[in-house]
Amino acid sequence: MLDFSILIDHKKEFLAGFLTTLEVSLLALVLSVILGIVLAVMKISPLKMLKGLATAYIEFIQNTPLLIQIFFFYFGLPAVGIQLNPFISGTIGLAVYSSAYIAEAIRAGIQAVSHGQVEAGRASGLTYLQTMQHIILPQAIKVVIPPLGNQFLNLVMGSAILGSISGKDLMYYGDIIASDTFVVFDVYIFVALFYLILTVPLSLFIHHLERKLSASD
Amino acid sequence: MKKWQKNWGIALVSVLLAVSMSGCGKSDDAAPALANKSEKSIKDMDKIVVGIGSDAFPFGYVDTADKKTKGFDLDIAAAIVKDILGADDKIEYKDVNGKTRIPMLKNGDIDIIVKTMTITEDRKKEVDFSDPYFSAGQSLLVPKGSAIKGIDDLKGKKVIAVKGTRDGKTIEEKSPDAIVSEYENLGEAFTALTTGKGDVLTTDNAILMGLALENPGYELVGGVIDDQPWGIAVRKGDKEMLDAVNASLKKLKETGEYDKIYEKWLKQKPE
Amino acid sequence: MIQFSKINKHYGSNHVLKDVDLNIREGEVVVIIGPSGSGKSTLLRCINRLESITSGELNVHGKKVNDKHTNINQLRQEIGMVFQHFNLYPHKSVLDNITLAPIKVRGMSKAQADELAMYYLEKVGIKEKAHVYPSNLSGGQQQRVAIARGLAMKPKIMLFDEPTSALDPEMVGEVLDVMKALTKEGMTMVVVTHEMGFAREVADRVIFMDQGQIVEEGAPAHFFTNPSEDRARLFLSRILVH
Repeated sequence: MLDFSILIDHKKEFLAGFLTTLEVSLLALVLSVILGIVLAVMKISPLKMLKGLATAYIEFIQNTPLLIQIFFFYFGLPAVGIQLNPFISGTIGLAVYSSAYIAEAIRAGIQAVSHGQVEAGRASGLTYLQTMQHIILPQAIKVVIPPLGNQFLNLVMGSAILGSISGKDLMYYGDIIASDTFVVFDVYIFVALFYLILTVPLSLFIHHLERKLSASD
Repeated sequence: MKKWQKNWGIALVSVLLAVSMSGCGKSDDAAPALANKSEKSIKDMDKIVVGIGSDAFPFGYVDTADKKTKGFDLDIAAAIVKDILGADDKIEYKDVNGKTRIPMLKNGDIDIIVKTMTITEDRKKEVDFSDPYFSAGQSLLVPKGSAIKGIDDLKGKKVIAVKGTRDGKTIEEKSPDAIVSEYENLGEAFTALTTGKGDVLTTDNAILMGLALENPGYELVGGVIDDQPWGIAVRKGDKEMLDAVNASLKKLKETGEYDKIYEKWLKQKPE
Repeated sequence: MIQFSKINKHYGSNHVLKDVDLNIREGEVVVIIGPSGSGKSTLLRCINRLESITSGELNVHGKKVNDKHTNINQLRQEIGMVFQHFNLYPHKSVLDNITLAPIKVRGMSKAQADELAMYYLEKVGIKEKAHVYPSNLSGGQQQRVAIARGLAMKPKIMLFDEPTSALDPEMVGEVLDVMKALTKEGMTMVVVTHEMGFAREVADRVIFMDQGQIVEEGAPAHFFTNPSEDRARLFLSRILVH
């Protein structure tokens, strides 16, 4: 049986951690989608330089550990005089990390839309960006939603890394409460339950979106 | 792989030893095998075998230059043995670790332990401790020139601690207005201090002294917050050895020898 | 209106257009025919720069198509295009398919654009389908919507890239009828097609292409009855047997 007195004794910490995790996840999610779209559009751009930049960014991010990226923003940037707190470093780190995967998902979605759609848009006098905005992206989104949904869930769970730069999220307080009370198993079960409060509705929402979008076919 | 197996082997043996020894320790008499030894006068011993460590700079560590183990603990041990036996060469060091030191003392492999060993009630059931030889405890490390001079200056300051220790809690209890942030390990915690993520790093002063020695821009302030002194351990009931160690320790402090050793290794005066 | 002079295009080592010279006057209906791979679609797609040219000069409406300083988006507003596979936007209703460019490019209000779209939908005979999605239309209906979409920008030139090739035979007629009606209004049209009947009936001029070159050109009456080139004769004999 779980020791619920721990939950009650430490409700302030659990709640504060939960809110931080929620905030970081939401902010990073919005940022990473914006960044991901920009990168995806750059990556399929006919301009070689933009394409090269986006490719280099994505490859670099996908091939280095998240922890090191977060350390870079937190411990590395002070070397050039930029002092970010754990919350901001964590949010940026997560957004940057996630954006590379989101960009790849969106790129795949865009390339799944037939090239004739681009031609029809461009031939009618729409600019490249207008074509993307009004014609390609709305169609790509259907293909993109499932992998994007997985990426969102990864992001929420990945936010646990905030604790390692003393960002006061669920995992941070979980570690501290566990080492204070020595009731390690129960504490982490509670932490996991709090994550489920975030991930289950998110995952249901994504399924709902998938169904809705496929119904419009 | 081999090393891993070896370590597990040592661990297993130590656990077995500890279990069997703690059985003996509970009886009122000292273990019979050791009785003879304690009947003989200490002054007649050929040598004293000292358990020391090699994993805690600058207390007992292996110098990478000459591959020799040296440090504060070793020098203290050497000075005490020299005082007891009257000669430089009647000491033998044996490398021990946190798990092996008490079993090895109990079965006679070593005669005393001088190894960053905190005096605790639990350990007092197993061994006898000398008077403190090092005033250990939680302390504060700050960049030189910091306005923080002690625990009373922490109001509104960012205090860096290491997860899995009680250090952060202690600060919160003693200085409720301090903002404590805990990091995964000492390396990250110290990096947080050097990159300006906090104003002060708190943990055991022995560890902080090591950091201050390797990073001259930092210094310890405010003494120890909670006293957890280290003692020299001798076999339970070995009163002659205990008295001899205490007498020598007292003499070292009186003659200034202790201060010399302290300053040699820790580059500062004792508190 | 459209002037090709010494146009060459390479796809890597593939020389797809070879020294093409061609002048198309305002109001002229030009039909381009030729075997597949002859470069006829490529030639058509150069006009609105869906394909770039390697060398030569191409002027459309007095502007150099491949000049960096030419605002290609502006030029494209004057050139409507109809594709083999319709390329309607599947996520938009018929009406929104037509109004997108007038609103975004011409800056029309939604109401104005809707009115315009309904006018052209009526013209192509499927006004009642304004609010359905393309996937609910037959191929012929989709292609008529695509023509209405092109016309809604009020272009000076209409390009047709094999507009009936992807249609079931029974739907070819309805699309050709719309196109024929358009020729009567004086629209400049360039049509790539295999519909010889259409070419014979409405073309002012027929261009025959083979291996990246214009092999023969002339009025349909002359071209279909008495082609001077062997290659054209051979092509016609095969096509007309079909």
